[in-house]
Amino acid sequence: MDTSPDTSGPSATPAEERERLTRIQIDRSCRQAVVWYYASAVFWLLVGTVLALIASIKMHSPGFLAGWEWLTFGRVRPAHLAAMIYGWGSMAGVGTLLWLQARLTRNRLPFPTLLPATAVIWNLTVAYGLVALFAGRSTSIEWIEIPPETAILFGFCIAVLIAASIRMLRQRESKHTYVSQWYLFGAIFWFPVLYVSAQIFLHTPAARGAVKAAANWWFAHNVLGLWFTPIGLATVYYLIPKVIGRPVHSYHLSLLGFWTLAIFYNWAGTHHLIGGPLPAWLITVGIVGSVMMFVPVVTVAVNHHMTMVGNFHHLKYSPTLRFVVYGAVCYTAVSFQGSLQSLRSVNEITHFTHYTIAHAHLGVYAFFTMVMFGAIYYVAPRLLNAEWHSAGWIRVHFWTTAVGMAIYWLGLTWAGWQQGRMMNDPRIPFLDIVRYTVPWLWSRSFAGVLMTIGHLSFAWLFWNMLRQRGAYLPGPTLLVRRKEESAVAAGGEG
Amino acid sequence: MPDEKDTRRSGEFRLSLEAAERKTPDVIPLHRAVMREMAEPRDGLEPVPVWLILGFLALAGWAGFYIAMNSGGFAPDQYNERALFAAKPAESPKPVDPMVLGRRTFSNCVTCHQQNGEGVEGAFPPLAGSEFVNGPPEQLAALLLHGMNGPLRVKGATYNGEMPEWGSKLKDEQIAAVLTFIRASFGNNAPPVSPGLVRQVREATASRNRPWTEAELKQFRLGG
Amino acid sequence: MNRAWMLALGVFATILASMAGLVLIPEKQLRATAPVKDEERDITLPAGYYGDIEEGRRVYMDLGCIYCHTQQVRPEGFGADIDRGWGVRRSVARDYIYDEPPLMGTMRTGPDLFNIGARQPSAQWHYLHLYQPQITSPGSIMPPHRFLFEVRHSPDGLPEDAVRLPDEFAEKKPAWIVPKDRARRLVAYLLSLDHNYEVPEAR
Repeated sequence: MDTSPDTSGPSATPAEERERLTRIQIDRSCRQAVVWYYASAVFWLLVGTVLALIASIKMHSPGFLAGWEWLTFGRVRPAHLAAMIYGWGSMAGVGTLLWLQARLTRNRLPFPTLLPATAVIWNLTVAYGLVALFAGRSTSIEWIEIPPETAILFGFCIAVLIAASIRMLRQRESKHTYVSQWYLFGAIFWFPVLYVSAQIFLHTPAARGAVKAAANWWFAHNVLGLWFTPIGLATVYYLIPKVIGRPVHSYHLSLLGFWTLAIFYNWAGTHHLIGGPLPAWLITVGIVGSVMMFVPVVTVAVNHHMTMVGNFHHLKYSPTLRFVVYGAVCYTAVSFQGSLQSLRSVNEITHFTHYTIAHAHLGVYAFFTMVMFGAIYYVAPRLLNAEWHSAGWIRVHFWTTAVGMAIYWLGLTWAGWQQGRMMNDPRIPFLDIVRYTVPWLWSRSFAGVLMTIGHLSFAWLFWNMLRQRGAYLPGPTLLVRRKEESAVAAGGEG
Repeated sequence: MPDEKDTRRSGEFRLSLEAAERKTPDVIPLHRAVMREMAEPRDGLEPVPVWLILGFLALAGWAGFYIAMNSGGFAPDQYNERALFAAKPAESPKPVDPMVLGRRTFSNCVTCHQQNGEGVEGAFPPLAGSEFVNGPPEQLAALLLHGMNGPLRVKGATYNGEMPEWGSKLKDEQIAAVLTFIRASFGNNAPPVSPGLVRQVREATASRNRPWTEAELKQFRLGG
Repeated sequence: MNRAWMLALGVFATILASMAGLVLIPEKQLRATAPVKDEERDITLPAGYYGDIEEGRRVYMDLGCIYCHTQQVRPEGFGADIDRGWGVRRSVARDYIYDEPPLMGTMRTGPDLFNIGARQPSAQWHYLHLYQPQITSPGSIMPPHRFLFEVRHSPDGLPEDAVRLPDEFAEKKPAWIVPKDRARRLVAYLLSLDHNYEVPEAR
C-alpha cells in the first residue's frame, strides 16, 4: 500500500509536484516506443521458450518430431538462440534502454513515430531470421546464424536509437551523468559496431579461415559482454537505488567498474578456442581478458551490495527488486565462473561439454533475463498507468524461473563436469558418456517446463497490463502485503 | 506513522482522482506509480576500499606475468604456449607401446565394431571371440589391408556388409598395433602381430585391387 | 563523468582495440598461410572444397551439425583427443584456410569429426548412421535424418549406393534406404574430412 503522505498524493511540496509532472511527461513520451519493444520482447520470449523446450526434449529423446526437417535439432537450436537473443533479450533491452535514457537525461523521448517503427522493423528482422533458419539458410556461425542481410535492418534501427540517445544526452538537464548512462551509451554504440563488423569479417575475405573463428567469438562473447551486460548493469544501477531510495554506494567504484569492464571484457572471446587452431598468444590474451574481469565484477558487486545493505527486507515485497537482485547476484556468479573456466586447466575439462551450456544460461538468463523481468515490472505500470493485476502470478513467475534456473544450472554443470572428465579418459567409450548425460538432460527439460510456466504467467500478466486490467488497484502490486508502513518503505514498490 | 483514518482518506482521495480521470481521458493521466516513486538515483562518494585496489594490482601483475610466460613469442605458427620456456624434447623418437598406438588406431574401428568390440547385432560383427581376430594373423592382416565384402559368418551369425580397406590409410606399424590390440582385448588372447608380418602380407597381396570375400580370405596363405 | 565526448572516445577506443587485437592482427599474421605440398601424391593439402564436397558442406551447415560435433583436435596432453584417435596431430590454422566459415564447433555431444573420413571411410556406414543413428551407435542421442532418404521395399532398380536396413530396423522386410542427393553430398563431405597429413607447426 502506498499510502504514506510523505511521498505521494496530495501533500507534496510544489517542487515535488513539478518533479512528478516531469516524470509523467517523460513516461508518456516513452509509452508508444517502449511498450512496442516490451510487448514484442514478451512475444519472442514465448517463441524462444517453445523452441527451447523442443530442443531440450530432442536431446534426450532424439525421435521427438524427427520427421520434419525444419524441426531437426540443428535448426531448432539456433532458432531458439536467435529468438531469445535478438528477439527477447535485445528488444527488452532496447525498451529499457530508451526509458532509462529518457528518465536519466530528463528528456522526452524523441522521434515519436520513428522509434515505434524501429520496433516493427526489428520484429520483422527477427522473424525473417527465424524463417531463414528453419528453411536451412543458417550461416552455421554460432550466435550469428541469421543471414547477413539482417545487419542492414538492425543497423537502421540502431542508427535511430543512437540518434535518439545522442539527442537526449546532448539535451540532458544536468551536466553530470549517472553511471547507468555510461553503460547505456556504451551498449548502444558497441552493439552496432560488433554486429556490422562481425558480418563483414565472417562473410567477406576480410578475415579468413581460422581467423573467422576468432572473429566469431570476439563477436559472440561481446554480444553478452558489451550489449546485454551493460544494459543489465545500467538497469541494476538504476533500479536498486530507485526502489530502496538510497544513493549508489560509491561513484568511484562505479567509475572503476565501468572502465575496467570496457577495457577487459571485449578481449575475453578467444577463451572459447582454447586448444583450438589459433596461435598460443591469441588464446592467452583471451584468458587474461577473462581473468581480469574479476576487477569490474568485484567492483560492481561491492558497489551494489553496499547499496543494498540494510535494505534486504524489501526483497520480500518488491517484485522489481527481487528479480533485479537475483540477476545482480547471478552476474557476479556467472562472471566468477567465467573467469575460472577460461583457465587452461579448467577449460580442458569443461570445454565441449554441457557445463558451458549451463554457464551461458547463467549469464543470459539468470542475470540478464531476470534483470529485464524486474525492469518490466517497474517500467510497465508507469507507461500504461495500470498495476500488475495479480501478485500471485508474479510469485509464480519468480519462483518457477528462479528454481527452474537453479535446477538447470546445477544439473548441466554437474553433468558437464563429469562428461568432460570422462571424455578426457580415453578408456571410457564415447557412447557410455552419452548415456551418462541422458538423465541430466531430462532434468534440464524438467527445469525448462518450470521456466515455461513462469514465462506463461509473465506473459499473462503483461497481457492484462496491456489490456489495462487491474488498472485501478489502490496501490502497487507487492509480492506480499506489507505490515508496517514506514516512510521509506512506502516509496519502495513495484 | 499515518493512522488508519489518514490512510483511508488518502485512498479515497486517490480513488476520486481516478474516477475523474476516467471521465476525462485527455488530461495527463495521473500516474500513481510515478507519484509514489523515489527520487532519481544519486551517487554516493565512498572511497574505493584499499583491499580492492591491492587485489587489482596483484591481478594486473599476474596478467603481465601470464602473458609473458604463455604467448610463445607472439609467433603466428606457435601453438604451444610454453614453447619459449619448455625443455627441448629429446630428439630420439621414444618407442611407442603397440598397445597405446593400437588403442588410438582402434578409434577407426569403433564406429562399427563398438568400443567394447561387441559389434552391433545384425549389422556389424563382433571382434570379441571372433574366429577371424583370433585366427591366422596373415589372414587378419590381409583383411585389414584390402577390406571385405559380402556375406560373412562370425560366431554363428551371418552379416552382410562391407568392411573398408585400410591399406591405403594406415601404415604397417599402425595395422600391426591395432591387430595386436584387438587380439589382446575384449577377452581375446591371441599373440601379437609384428609390423614385419604386415609388410610381408602387403607385398604378397600388392596386386589385389578389390575386397576379399569370406571364401577367398579363408584360402589366403603367406607364400602359399 | 561530465563529458560525453570522453565517454564516446573511450567506448570506441576499447572496442577498436579488441577488434584489432583479436581479429585484425591475427588476420595479418595468418594471411600468408599456404597449403602444404604432399610430394608423394603431388597434391597440396588441405585440398579445399569443390563439387559435391562443397555442396555437402553446405548441407552440414544447414542441418546444424556444428551444435553437437566439433572439427578440431586438441594437442597431445591436453584433453584426450589424440588418445581417442580423433586425429594423429593437433589441428592448426593451416587446416582451415579454405573454410568459409570454419566449422570448429564448441560442443561434443557427439564425437569430433575433423578426421571422420579417415576414421570411417564407408559411405554405407554413414548412410545407415544418418538414417537411424542408433543402428550403428547404440545409445546415441543423435536425431535420425530420415528426410534425407527414401525407403524402398523392392530390390528392383535400386541405385548402387542403396543400403539394406538390418531386419530389426526395417518396418516391412526387406527394406533398402536410397539416399537423396543431399545425403550423397553430405556423405561426400564427411568422407573428405581427413587432416592426417603432416604440417610443420603441429609440434
